[in-house]
Amino acid sequence: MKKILFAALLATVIGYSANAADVKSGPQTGEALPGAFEPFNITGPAAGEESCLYCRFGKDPTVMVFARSQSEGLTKLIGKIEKAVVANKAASLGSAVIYLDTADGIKSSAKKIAEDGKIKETILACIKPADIEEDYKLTKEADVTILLYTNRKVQVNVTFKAGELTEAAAEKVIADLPKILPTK
Amino acid sequence: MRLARRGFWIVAIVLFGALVGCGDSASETPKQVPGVELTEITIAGFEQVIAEQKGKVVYVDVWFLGCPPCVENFPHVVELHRKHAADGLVVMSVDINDKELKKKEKVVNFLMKHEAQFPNYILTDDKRKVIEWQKKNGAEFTPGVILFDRTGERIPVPEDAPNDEIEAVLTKLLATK
Repeated sequence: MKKILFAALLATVIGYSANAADVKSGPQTGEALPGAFEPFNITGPAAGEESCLYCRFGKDPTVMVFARSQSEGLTKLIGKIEKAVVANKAASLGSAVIYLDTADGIKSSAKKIAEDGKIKETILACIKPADIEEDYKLTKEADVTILLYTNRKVQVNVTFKAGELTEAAAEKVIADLPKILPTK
Repeated sequence: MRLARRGFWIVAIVLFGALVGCGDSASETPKQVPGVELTEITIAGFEQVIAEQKGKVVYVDVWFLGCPPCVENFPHVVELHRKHAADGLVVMSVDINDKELKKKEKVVNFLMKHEAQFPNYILTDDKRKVIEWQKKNGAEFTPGVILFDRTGERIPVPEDAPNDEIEAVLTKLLATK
């Protein structure tokens, strides 16, 4: 049993590392975020407006996800992020998922995800790819680019090709949160 | 000031049509406030405006409407103007990110709502130039504050400086004749 568990864990870790190494997208670990941008906020305090999430979170620890498409893995990740944000409210952990697609379909599916998953803290937003890809170096191959940052500097960058974001990989992202949270 | 404005399109914010057509509900349309203007300007033009203020203390609020902390801080900027203008403080706002017509109209509404009766500018240079200018002036992050003493020298303001600390510095600068 122990061997099976170990093998499963190893496979998850290898899989996660391989994904991270495969596709390079977004500012890398140690780099500063490129700066302000104004996505359309689908949910959150500025829902229905273009509002700068980079500005909103400022120097606070933040999980920022850029996604080119909706997927089950992403929905699970959003749920896990939400739980983590609620659990780390005292640390002012911020979070947002920004879809690189402004079609009405994405907006309505994001609203549904927020409603179904009772997502209150994590802001769901969308932006035209052309308005952010270049500044944030978001590559086409990366379906999901996840940045864990604090003080506007990236501490963890994880990217996934389409279909690669599994629940286990999402769990590993959450496991990296202590890297941006203040030490107790 | 006159020089800097020449050649640039002065946004005629008193145009009722712009206010009505902003898309907000009628109840959100602010009343007309005399002395509230939004002027398009280049970085070079703005630097000239600053150079013309020698002898006064200048407080520049670097902001834009889509920046929640900027919007939250704006009433404090207006308050600074009200409290210290008579002592020689010149408050200015510089919008770095709302060049599009649709956004500009919303900015005008916002300025009216807050009765921002001081020079309000909107930079027209491209994004990269604006970022460079922000960095050069220690206002990379918004809301940013750029402060000049009466000799025209820039006084560094730490990013996280609380408003009361900045006001204390301002008060000292104003006391220096």
